[in-house]
Amino acid sequence: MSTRKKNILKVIILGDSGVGKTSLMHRYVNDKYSQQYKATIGADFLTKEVNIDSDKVATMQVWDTAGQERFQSLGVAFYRGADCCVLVYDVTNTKSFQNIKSWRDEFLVHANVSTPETFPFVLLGNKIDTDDSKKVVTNKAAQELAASLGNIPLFFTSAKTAINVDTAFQEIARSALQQNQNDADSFEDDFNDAINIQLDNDTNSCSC
Amino acid sequence: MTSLVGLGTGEWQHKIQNTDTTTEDCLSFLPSFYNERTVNELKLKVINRAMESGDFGLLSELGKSKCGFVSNDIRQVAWYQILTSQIIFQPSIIPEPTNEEKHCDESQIQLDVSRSFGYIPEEIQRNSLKKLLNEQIVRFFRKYPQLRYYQGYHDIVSVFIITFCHTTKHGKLQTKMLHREKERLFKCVEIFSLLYLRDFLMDSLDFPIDQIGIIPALIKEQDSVLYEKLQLDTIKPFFAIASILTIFSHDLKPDILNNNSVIFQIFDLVICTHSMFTPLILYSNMIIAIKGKLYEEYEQNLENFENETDLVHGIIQKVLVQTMNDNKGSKKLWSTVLNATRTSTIIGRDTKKMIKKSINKASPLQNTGSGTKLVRILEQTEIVKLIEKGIKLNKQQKEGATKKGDNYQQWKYNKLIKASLLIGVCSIAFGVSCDQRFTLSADPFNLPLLDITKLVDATEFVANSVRNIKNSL
Repeated sequence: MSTRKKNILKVIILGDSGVGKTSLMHRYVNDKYSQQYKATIGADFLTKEVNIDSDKVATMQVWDTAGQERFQSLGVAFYRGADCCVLVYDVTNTKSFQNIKSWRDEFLVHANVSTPETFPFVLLGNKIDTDDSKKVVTNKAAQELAASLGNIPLFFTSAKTAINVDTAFQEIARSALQQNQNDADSFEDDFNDAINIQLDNDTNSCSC
Repeated sequence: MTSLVGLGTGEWQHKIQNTDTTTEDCLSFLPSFYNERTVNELKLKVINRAMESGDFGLLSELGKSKCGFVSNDIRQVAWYQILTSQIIFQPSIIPEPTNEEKHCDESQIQLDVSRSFGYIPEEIQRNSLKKLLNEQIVRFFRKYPQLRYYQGYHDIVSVFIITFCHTTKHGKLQTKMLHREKERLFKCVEIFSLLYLRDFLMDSLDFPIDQIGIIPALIKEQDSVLYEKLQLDTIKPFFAIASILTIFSHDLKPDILNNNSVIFQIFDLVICTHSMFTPLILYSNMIIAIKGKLYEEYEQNLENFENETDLVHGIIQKVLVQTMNDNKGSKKLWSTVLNATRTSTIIGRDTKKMIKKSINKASPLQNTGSGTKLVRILEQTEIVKLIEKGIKLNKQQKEGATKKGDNYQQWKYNKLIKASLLIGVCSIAFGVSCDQRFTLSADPFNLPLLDITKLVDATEFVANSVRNIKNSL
């Protein structure tokens, strides 16, 4: 089954362990923050009704994933059919910033998206509320990275103090809707390909 | 009452084993006018007696029965006794880590420990528990540097920590531990990990993914309609990964005022069945127990998910979260699931075949956690060998996965050779016997007419031809 569901926007949040993926999701969906979110294992999701450009309504499904590298092997299952991918790093953690590119590449390998060169990504530098002395990733470096990844939108956020989270997710929703419509338009043409993709996955599942 | 408690352990075991296994609990032969509290008080006495006499068979039976080991102060002793009876430690083989050399996963451990015990309201207490958790996990991985930490292991160790910091009569957790108590806690964590968690402690998720692959087969055995409805023949059961990797401890947090929360009883069951099939069976039984709600949600959400995998994952998560948030509902669900699992842990023949094929030979499911009645006492060297074998097989499996494309080509090529050989064999057989009856069967010599690129068709055709030839002979 690979039919496009109308107005369901599937958004995947990726990034290193502890950068604040779960917190961002909860801040956006429930407008809540807790210091006590437990580590995510596998994948969880939350949904939220969204209004885009004040005239379109859709349901956003935000899929939150585990940050430890080994969980990427589950990506094949969870990334499929995504309309937008959110890449998150922690402004106080250089390594999480350096890993952004490999998260994006991993996603493209597993998600089986139809047009990788135009697939929407959004970059978030989280924990912007922390003291400047602790920030190790400069805004300039982040802007350069966003540009090098195909001029993708960049936001500096804080799930803790709710800075920029809504604005970022508005953009995420817009990109996801655009992608969703593009895909729906080309769906008829790709129908046969979609079936082939499924067959490939089935072959893999037998040997695991 | 005294006379019942006064029974010899052999008699108790006899009584328990001969009690109708479908009844509510292992002490059901007691007159029904005893209320649960009295039954549990009695049970504690019997558990104590079994521990005093070192009767691990009886102790395991008691842990498997309703309410498990009843209370954490007894539970920690029972777990220690049962677990330590299974491995003989020789300090010279694996010495305690004395150096300060860090394990490569310590930063990940740090991250997860700092996010643990969120359900403990008091900060000082929460921090002492985190400190204990960190000590235990770091010590384990420094002692076994060849093993790898995974997110979820911290949830499992947390269960041991809470069990050993059992709640006192004043409803407070006892977080101050004597050196001796800490040593006992570590032994439990160590042995439990070595006996049951080795598949999860490799450097990939390959083995745990193989393990959750057993769940659909277990569901199919009991409810083929549900199996088909959820399309479990095609969907990988990734929705189960968190529950299995953490033996349910990721979602089921203990109620700190209750020394016998469900999560402790689940661990009782794993330790006393000596089986890592237990979590898989529990999971399958849980899915079956919530199937009514799953059917409802399935119909209601058909349009709400991008694909079938998301739909099934989504509705299972939704129903489980709903059930867990409802305290009464959760209690009822787990009581049903635990009872179903306590009374039947038999695995069907088809599933067994599948396990043999899909589970690695060093897996706990094949040896230390296979749930066989006779539990072998292992030398520490044997455990080390099993770890090494697991690591080797995991590496092979990982390499195999990356070479899958090549293997597929190789496989196709081999099929071609085999097909040609078969044709050769067939033609000799055909030529030698020269029997008229062959002309009635499919003719293996018609192969060139087939599109040679359709190898699957070709091999199937040859196989059919051979089968026909065999039949006609």
